[in-house]
Amino acid sequence: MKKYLSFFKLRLNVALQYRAAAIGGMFTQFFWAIMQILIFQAFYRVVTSNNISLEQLISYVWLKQAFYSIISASSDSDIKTMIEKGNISYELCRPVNIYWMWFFKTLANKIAGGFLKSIPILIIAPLLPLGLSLQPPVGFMAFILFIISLMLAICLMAAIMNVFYISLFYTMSSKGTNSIFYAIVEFFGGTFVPIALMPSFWQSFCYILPFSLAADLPFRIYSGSMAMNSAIGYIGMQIVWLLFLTITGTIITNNRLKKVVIQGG
Amino acid sequence: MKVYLKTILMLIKMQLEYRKAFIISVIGSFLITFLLTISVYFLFEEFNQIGDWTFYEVAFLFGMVFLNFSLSEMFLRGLDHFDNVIKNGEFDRILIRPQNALLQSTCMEFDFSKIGRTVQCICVIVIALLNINIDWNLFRVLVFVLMNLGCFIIFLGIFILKASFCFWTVDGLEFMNILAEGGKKVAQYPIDIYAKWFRIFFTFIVPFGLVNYYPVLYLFGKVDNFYYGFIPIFTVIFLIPCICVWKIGVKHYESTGS
Repeated sequence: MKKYLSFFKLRLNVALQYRAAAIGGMFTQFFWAIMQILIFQAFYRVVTSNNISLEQLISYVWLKQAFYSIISASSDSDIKTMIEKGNISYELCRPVNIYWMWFFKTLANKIAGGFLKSIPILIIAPLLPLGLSLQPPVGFMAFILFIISLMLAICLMAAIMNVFYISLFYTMSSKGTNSIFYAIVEFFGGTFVPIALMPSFWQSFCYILPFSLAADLPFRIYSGSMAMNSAIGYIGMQIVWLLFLTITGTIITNNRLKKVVIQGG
Repeated sequence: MKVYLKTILMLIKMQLEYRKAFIISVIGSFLITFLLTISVYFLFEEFNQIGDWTFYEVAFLFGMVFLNFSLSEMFLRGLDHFDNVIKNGEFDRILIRPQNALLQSTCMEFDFSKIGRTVQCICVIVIALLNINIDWNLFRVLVFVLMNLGCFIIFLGIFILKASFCFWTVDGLEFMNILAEGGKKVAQYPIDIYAKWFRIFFTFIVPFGLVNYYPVLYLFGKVDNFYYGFIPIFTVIFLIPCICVWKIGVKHYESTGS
């Protein structure tokens, strides 16, 4: 366990170094969130959605933007080039399980980059004028469930990213698969359109998949647009998916590593 | 121009060499825009309309903006990835050649895989136009062409601006993506749905409003004033400061790398 933790620490430090990029990213985040809110306000001016109120949706948009880098499918270029260029041979020499090493690397990257980026929004967004602002959570229970599901969501996202890295063993190039993977994660994770605004058939379909559980569920719990009972059920599903992905992932990686071909010379 | 076409032809051939990777990239670029289109459809399924704009009208705007964005991603890829050119010190090589530096930088790369996205956008535009009542005549066709040209010019300007910033810094370019990515998202919807300060910014600073709002009003017969149809021409003005920044950047350039 200790060696995984030190990978985690190392990555955390590297990610914290890019402070200038973080400031640029901060502006981008505010811009995106406000733009989305303006669009939704325009939609709600005529008709209101039955699934989610405008206030709930605005909180949802802010939180999603705050934690975007945690729950998005941005892949670790280190791991990508490792497989493409053949540096993976070094990794294979290390006495650690490669699946879990990648898992913790991704996790650390997401947490370091992600929580740093979320702080400005979490401070400023609640102070904005009404109709633009991030509301407090609907209740204490909702807040606790939000924290739990967010933690699970981060792990789940790291496990999903690992599926992508494993797929690189088969495709060898990330170029096209990257964008296919991105499109699927973003769409079924409710980033293109919030899942609460999808037709009901699609909603139930999306919540079976792990993407929405990782990228949509926590924020719906926070904003109160999801009943407590079903929230607890979905958190259970998060755990099931997490176990399923990590266990099958470990098995597949171990099998695949036996016949891996190293690229490059 | 001849030089440009020849370079592009060579780059296309190069990409077609890796058949499997190419096909996957095409599918990828298709899929993103396709799912985005579905997302817009979902929103209109839930709300029916935005302001007084219907689904097909917004779909038309969406198609137009994404068409021109993917065309500019295809043809202007070199500018989009200009930071690599600076980092490698390859710009020195460009400067010693007897051709326009901007043109050469544009030709550095050509991403043919965006063809998937382009075809998909054309389909969206055609479907949208078939479902909107437009009183077509020759002038309206001209307006349609002007809108697309104007839209492409804006993206050209943004890409030049983005490339120019690389002369000063190659970090923090994420900020510049607000203009390209953000503009793309903003321009999907007619700008009259936004707050006023937002509208002003996207009319006078980054002039997306000139292509996706005023001429559209005329095209769809929402206003009769045909001057609205000529408005996209003014997007050319946006190019002037962009090219100036580029020129200043080139002067400012100090070589990096070995």
